[in-house]
Amino acid sequence: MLDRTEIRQSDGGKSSGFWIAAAWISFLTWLFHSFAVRAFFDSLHGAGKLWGGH
Amino acid sequence: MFVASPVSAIAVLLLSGISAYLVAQRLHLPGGRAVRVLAVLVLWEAIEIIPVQVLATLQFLHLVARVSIPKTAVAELVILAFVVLWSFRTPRPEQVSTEPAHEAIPRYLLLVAGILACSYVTFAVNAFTCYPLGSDALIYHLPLTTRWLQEGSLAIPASHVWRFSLPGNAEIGIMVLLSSGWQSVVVIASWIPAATVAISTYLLSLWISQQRTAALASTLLVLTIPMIQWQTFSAYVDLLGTAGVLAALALILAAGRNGARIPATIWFLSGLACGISIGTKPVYYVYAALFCMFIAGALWRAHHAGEKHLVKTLALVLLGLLLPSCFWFARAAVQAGNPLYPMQVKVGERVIFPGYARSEITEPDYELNSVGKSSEWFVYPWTEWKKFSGFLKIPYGEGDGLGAAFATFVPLGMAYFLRLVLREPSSRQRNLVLLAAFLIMFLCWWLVMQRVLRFGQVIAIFTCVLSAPLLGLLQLRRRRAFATLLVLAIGASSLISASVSLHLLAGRARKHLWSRAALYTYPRLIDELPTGSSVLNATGDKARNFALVGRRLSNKLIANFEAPPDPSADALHAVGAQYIVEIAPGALYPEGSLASAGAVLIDDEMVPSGEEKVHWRIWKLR
Repeated sequence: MLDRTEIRQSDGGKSSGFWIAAAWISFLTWLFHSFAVRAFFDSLHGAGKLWGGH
Repeated sequence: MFVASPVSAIAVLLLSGISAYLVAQRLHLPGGRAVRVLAVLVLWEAIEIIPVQVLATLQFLHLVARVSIPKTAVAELVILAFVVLWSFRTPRPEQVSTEPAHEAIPRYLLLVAGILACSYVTFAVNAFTCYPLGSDALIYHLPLTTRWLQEGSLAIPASHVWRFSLPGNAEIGIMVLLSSGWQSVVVIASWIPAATVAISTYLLSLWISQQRTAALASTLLVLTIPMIQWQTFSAYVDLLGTAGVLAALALILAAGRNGARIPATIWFLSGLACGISIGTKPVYYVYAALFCMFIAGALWRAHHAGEKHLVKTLALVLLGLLLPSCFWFARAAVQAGNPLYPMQVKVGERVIFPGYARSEITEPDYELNSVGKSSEWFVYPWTEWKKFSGFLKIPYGEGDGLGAAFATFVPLGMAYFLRLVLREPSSRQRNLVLLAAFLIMFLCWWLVMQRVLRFGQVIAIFTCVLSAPLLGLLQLRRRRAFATLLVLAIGASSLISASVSLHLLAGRARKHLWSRAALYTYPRLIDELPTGSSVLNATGDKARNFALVGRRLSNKLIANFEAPPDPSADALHAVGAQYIVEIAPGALYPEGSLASAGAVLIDDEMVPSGEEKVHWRIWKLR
């Protein structure tokens, strides 16, 4: 099993900086490319959509 | 016709839950409290489903006149009485917790759980102030359960259409709730599977990471997946199938943690969980086959326990697999001559059992609703594109969307897991097996399941589990940056998902769309037809099927896919149609053909639908 000691020994915190940076980049990539984000902001623009517009 | 009865529906739900709780309290279940809760959920689902299947079998054998929810409630009461008697005679086993020492839950996880809970509450408010939504639910899951209630039988219809011939464990739960007469509560049928998915993810993530915080983060991550959240509040069946497969795996791995011997009860419950999946949808036959391979491997490793033990274990797993699923195979074999009906069984070019080819059930290019071309699946978590995303344009739904947290952590989590496989000798064998399992499932999804995202949600959750080691590393070494990122990612997904519910709710409030006819936008006459009227959906829109059964569920629906292609008087009389409903333009039959068939126009009106009006016509056949 991968326990905390193992994590500490194997990475010693050296590579964790890389992984957290990569995770931030991944999140920002989603933020700027996901159609869900665009649609969310689009839906906030139109008052008709904001108030239903069913 | 059936009579709606909230008392019977509530009784079935509660009595089966109490029986499951009492049984689980008396079973030897190692692995801690979470395993016990998971056992309760699996038993609850099984105890709710199996009595209905038994009643349906008796109805096929003409030993009871019809299947009904009051009769099911009586059966549940009898089961509870036996369970109570048994529990008095059976002592509670000693509880030995094998969970790792509890760490305090970090505040950022509580914050994330709170944000997610708010999003779920908006979904609940929307669901309970509305009528059921979701295309597949409206096209065939709900029409099928309505038909079972009306006819008092779970028989395959004479038309043998595939949508009404699939195994239906999930539909049984929906049928119980629909019988209450409160149509919005059908979504509650998805809550037991949703809880099962959450606890299974927690147990599997704990097993792989040995860190409670990482396991909790992984569980929250799964619950933010839009597909999962939408299905939790709809009448789709995929969540139950997914829950069964995951629970089957989680029970064995959690109980056998640290090399502990797995008791007989766990083997049985694991088989039972997988059996529930098998009886839910043919897609889960593939996952069940992989589960059986896993069981074979686990038994091979335990071969030193002796032949008798192996035979007993195998028998228990098989019993569990068959109990909640064999009804559907027997029904299909007797009524359609093919135990796997509606699936066609074919070896090479030779058809062994007739049925529908996969491509007749799911269009071969179905994936093009989510990606432009197949290779785009590798960037889908960051794009979440959808061809038809509805009026709000948000590309989420019962079959779409993985969410921000998935895109942020899971692809990287898989890369980190691959690194562990290559660099960590201590757990290499186990990690190699897990990686191979992922690759086999992914290949099956790519080659056999026609790359439908919803069919691969077991794999999506499995990748969240495999990402638990990365989540563990980040929360140990980079807690502040990780906590901020987790809150942002889950917050973003939750906000976008909740915005859809809030928009729908606000739209209904603005336009006062509270009645069923106003919400589904159909003429009120549909609700006023005499009880038992046979209504043919010739609107050309299959999503209107459930709407046409009416507010009291009292109309007998002839679904669009059961409609005769030729609208002659003979053909319409042959399917038993009394009323034919059309929307113009786009109706199923050519203009004037129904009048030629002797039908009389009894309603011709414009029904408001959004910003437009839709032209409806209702014909009565003489």
